[in-house]
Amino acid sequence: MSTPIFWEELVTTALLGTERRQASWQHAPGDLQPLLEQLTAVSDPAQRLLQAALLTMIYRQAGFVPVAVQEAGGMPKAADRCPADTQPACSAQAGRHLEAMLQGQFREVLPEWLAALSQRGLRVPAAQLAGLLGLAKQHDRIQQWLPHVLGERGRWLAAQNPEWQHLATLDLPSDQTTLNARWELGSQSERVALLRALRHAHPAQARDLLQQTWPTEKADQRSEFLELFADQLSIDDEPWLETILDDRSERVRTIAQRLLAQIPTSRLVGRMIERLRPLLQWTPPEHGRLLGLLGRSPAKLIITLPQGRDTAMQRDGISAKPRTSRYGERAWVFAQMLVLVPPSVWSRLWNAAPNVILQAEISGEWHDMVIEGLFDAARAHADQDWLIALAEYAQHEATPISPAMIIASLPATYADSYALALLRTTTHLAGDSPALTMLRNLPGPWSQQLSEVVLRLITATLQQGQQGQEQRDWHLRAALSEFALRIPPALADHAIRATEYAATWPYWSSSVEQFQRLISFRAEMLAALDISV
Amino acid sequence: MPTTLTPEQVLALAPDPASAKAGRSLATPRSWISSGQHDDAVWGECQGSGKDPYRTQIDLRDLAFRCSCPSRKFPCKHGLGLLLMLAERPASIAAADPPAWVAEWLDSRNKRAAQQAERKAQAAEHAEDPALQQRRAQQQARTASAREAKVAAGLQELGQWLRDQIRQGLALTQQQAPASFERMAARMVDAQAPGLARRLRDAASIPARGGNWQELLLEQLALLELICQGYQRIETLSAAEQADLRSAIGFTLPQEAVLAEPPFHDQWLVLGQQLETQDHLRVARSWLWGSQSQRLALLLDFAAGAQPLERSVVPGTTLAADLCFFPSAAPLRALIHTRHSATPPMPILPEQPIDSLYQHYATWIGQLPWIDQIATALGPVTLARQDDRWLLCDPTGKQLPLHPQFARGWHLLAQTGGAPCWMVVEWDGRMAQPLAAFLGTQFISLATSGSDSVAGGS
Repeated sequence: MSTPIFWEELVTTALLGTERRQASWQHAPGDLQPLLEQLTAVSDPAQRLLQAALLTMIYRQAGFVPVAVQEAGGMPKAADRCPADTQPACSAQAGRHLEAMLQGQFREVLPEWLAALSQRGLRVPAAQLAGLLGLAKQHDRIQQWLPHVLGERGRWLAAQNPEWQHLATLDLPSDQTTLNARWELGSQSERVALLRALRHAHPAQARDLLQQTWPTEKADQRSEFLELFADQLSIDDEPWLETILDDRSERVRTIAQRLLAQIPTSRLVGRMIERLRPLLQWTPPEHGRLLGLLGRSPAKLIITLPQGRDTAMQRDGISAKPRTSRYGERAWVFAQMLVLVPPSVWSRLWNAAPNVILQAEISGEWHDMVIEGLFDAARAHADQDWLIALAEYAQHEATPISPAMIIASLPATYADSYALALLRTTTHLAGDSPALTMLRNLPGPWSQQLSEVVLRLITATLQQGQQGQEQRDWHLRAALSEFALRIPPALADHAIRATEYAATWPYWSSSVEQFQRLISFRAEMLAALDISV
Repeated sequence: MPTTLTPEQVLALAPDPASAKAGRSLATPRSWISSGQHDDAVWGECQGSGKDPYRTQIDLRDLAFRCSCPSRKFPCKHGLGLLLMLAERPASIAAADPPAWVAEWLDSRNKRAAQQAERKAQAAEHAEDPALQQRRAQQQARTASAREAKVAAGLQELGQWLRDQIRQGLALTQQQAPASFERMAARMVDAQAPGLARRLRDAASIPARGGNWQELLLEQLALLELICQGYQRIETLSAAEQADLRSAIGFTLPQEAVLAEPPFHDQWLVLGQQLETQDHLRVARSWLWGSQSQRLALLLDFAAGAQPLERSVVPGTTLAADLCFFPSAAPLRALIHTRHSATPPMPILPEQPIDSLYQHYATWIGQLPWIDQIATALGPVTLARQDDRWLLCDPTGKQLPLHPQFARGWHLLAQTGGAPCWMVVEWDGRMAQPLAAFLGTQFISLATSGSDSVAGGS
């Protein structure tokens, strides 16, 4: 009397073949009996089976009854309703801009859009939430804005997808038990997110948390976690970091060395200073007797190379094998140590301003090595006084560092005016010109004033190809798409006029079009964030 | 504009995601050298890579696109971009009198429509001429009877083949698939029974699927047997049943014959649309629901190769129209006979618990056992997730698993926020494939083609 049994019987018979097996109709459902009886007139058993199968199949399909949730053990429950949003959503037009970026168009602008959205206190519309969360899962750099722009709906949605849960909230658990549970049971990406947030808010607590599980973490995880300690790094971390110099993994040791080098009062930096002091002999400048000008002799710095690398140096991360053929082993050891010492140490020790040190006569063939070492040290320790002194120094002829090398490390406002000053004597931005290289290294956003100068130079450069052949310059072509992200969107119309000239030239048309589209997209997307419809 | 389209509906017209993306980037006034609109049309000139700008025009009365660009996509990105701009920022396109190139096109379209109407009328007149009618009928009868003979022979052979499979056992069939199916399908093409060839080709992959393939294969063979048997005694069947059988075999009806059926008027809601490729043909299935008759109708549009797939109905919109249904015991497929200019209001969808899907389907297969699929709007339903699969739940506590490849669940959940909605699903007796959702009056497209293909989570 049961359909499944009868159906099974038919299927099994069909599988084996009616030559080998006859289907028993004993279990046929009662409703089907009268119809099946009519089939006894069909003489061919194969045909009879096919027709019986047809009847049974329709009988089954027509009688199908869905499973009720209660019958399936109370699971699953439909998602609870999402609480209403109090945060206003951005306009529908802004939502479409987001949609375009999620689809892959102008995606490089997405961080700017998210920052602007968050700044205005708006949230992402419901239609784009799933797309944004899906993308954020793969791209760390957009995650930081999510907690501010997801709204109730987004947080509610993310809470239901285990892969998204950690994206929605930067909230740290207030009690230690929950924190420990999340730390011990979370996936690697959740743990990284948790530790990053904790490190930012409570640096010492983050260190305690990681120390608890440190011996059992794998090398890859240790290095990923330790990287997060660059945030809020302080002398309080030093004792523990110092012990990590003896870690089993070279990668982990390298990270600890780098972190310790960034703590000016760390024992590691102290050891470096002690190693270098005997190797550097400083003679202050002598002021001439006549008006303090004539006969003035510059400072002198005499370098002695170390004997080589000992095991204590090795523990501090000094390698013996030069990474460049410019240095022998001893010079390489010296150069590495110089980078690890904050340059302000030398200013204090010799009672000399950075520019005095940079102008010093440096012994032997080591001049460039010392300047480059001081430059790298100034960057590593973000020493603004030194960086600015180096930037001034880089403007001189025949120096081992150039404005293009240093500009990205300069404080933003200073960098902008520094670039402006250098561009004053520039007439165009052709190919490998230092000015173009410098601008490509200068991150945005650029000031309006600088942008206007750059646009004028771009026009001038493009117009050089006015007569006869057009200008070909892949450097500038590549630079256009970078500049379109840095020029303030308020200058979009200006930027379009500045490049319109080359818009129809085959060599330039597609990059100019992309430049114009990108900057107008930015202008449109920011405008759409300020309308409420 | 007869229909006010939402940007989402415009993008749903895109032939593929790339076109949707390109269209989106052209939906800004900056991309257009000139543009204009009036009640029936919108047009614009777009600077492309060529020397002269492309001229794009859209007849809004029936959404006909025309563009001078060389793209073989239809509608092309320019058409999509222009229509999208009209949907998003209507104010950015000035109202104007059409320029000559637009006016000429609209004019020629009007003329063509008039000519067609005239020809139809003439054909009707000619039909009155008994001599001509007789000659034509004789000719047609000769061709038709030759085909009937071919089909009959083909079906005889197919019936034999089917019985052989069952006699020897499906285990052997599995070893011989898919080649044996392909041979039989080719035989059906020769026998001028393309509908059966398609069924055989669809079934060819079943044995390799694993799982319950024996069951699925037995069902398909049983349906083919039913068609073979039915055709042997086709004279004994009703006219409607005959039409169904012939359609399953692959006899086509001329459009005029369908349009001669009595027109059926209603205010239709376009529930959803599914794009599919069958035998090198692209097929768009549009499901319409009559708000007064509660009747379901299916519009099919076909396009071969790179030919444009014209889709004159837009999912989520309403239209007042007279439809002519293909003759059938369970009339479903239809053609638009007349489309009225008024746009009916959005109807209120009736409550349809999950049970009703099975009830509807039982009624349909009772009439037409080989029906491919039906669509219906279930609601109010909420979305739930279990073991990486999406389910619909209704207030009675029943649940319906959605197609395992349904990838837009998170997208839908984001939009409903857990609130009940009406979900349009295509149902083939096994799998529910979501096409769209109605959340209040908001239409959410869930079809897999067109504009929506964001990777990762949605």
